[in-house]
Amino acid sequence: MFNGAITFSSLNRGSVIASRVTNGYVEAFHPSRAALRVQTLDEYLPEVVVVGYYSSDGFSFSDWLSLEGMFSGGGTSSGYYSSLDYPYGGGGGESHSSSEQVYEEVPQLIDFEEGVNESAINVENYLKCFSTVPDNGATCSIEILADIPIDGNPNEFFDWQNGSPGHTFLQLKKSNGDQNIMQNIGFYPVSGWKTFLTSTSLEGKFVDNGGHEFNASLTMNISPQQLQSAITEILYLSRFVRYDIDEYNCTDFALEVFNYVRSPASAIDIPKYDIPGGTSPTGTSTPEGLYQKLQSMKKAAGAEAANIELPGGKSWAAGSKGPCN
Amino acid sequence: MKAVKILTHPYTLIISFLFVLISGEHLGGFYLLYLLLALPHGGIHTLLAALGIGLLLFSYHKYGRRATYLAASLTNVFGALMLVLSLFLFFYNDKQEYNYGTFYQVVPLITLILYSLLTLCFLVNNLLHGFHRKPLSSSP
Repeated sequence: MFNGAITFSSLNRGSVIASRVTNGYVEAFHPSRAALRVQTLDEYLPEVVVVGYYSSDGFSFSDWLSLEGMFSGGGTSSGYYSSLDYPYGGGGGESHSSSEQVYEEVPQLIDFEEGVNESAINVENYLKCFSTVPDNGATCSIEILADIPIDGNPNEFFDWQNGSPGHTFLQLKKSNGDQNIMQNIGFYPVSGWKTFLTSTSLEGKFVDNGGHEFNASLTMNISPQQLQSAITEILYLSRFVRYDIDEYNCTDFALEVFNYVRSPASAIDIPKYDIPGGTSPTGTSTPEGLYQKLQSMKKAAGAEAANIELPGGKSWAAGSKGPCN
Repeated sequence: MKAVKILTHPYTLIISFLFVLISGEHLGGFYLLYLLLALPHGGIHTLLAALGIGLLLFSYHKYGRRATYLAASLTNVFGALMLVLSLFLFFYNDKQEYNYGTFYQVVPLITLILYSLLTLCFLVNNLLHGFHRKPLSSSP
């Protein structure tokens, strides 16, 4: 009989019930100790049956195999516990003809985003990684990604719940054989609270945006030389650029680098807007403007339409390689 | 005593509440701005803030600062708790932790601590006056 503790969590990982387990019974379900004693008779199965454990290093596939064995007498080669999930027959081990219709539920996408680590990075150390991959035969790309404040509504400047104006960032990639380097870099103010208190530019910082969500992106395949020029431009800008919410923000930075490796004729020119409290006479670059531009390019079905990703709701950038010393 | 009166004044509490500095990743500003931003959308933190401020102003203008009425103290306590709940829900519902810079940047943190201390003073003052009232002097 298992003795210990159990925690039930909701899908957003909030704790719903945390209780001790005594002789396989969850104490929270039995406020009365007398009820607990009555139910622990031998003819009843306990509420908690432990069939395997996993270590803090991750689960072992042998645990899944053991679990599978209880239901179907066999395991799965892929580690996917199919027979446990099977909706018919109350368990695995049954044979199903190919003509039998298998009911599949529509996947439920859970929107759970880890808190973004917004600590400043050393850009030079991040970009140094690309020099570890040889240029000869390398494939490179630069991608600009827009995260609008309200998913599915590119006409809102702010998320009214938290005041977020969205974000634009860059993803650089270089691959050669089995060597792959990817870095996601975004531009931020060091002190966000100063932006509404002053109209002057503020000290900026660069942040690793690996895992950041986005709603639209444009990828451009470039040569290793073009990648190097993009890296040089980022390093050059990182020495002096200052953050200004209406004059030079994350979108301005990302566009400046992205357009640097494009020909002037094909430079991305996004619609600019007057943002509340903004003083820029020419308007402000925003993630919404970039999103709208990419959306219109996609609809126009031009040469770059295939390189534009509009994931419908949103998607997440892959993780960055991190710094190299 | 004058300092205590200022520290426990409902206006002091309301002002410190509205001027808590919020630090987002790109944007920041006084909490008042965030309340106004959410006002047209009926955000729960805005509604609670409006209710809390309303209760504090009602209590102050109806009962004054004599705090001889239990109802006055209770209204004040509920009003102050509504403000705390408004700020709590603002951060709690921020699942992307967009404004969590408020908790580790010095100036926003100072405004948050100042508001917390003023709330504590206000609550203690009202609880003391509300539940340990001096007996009214009996008329001859």
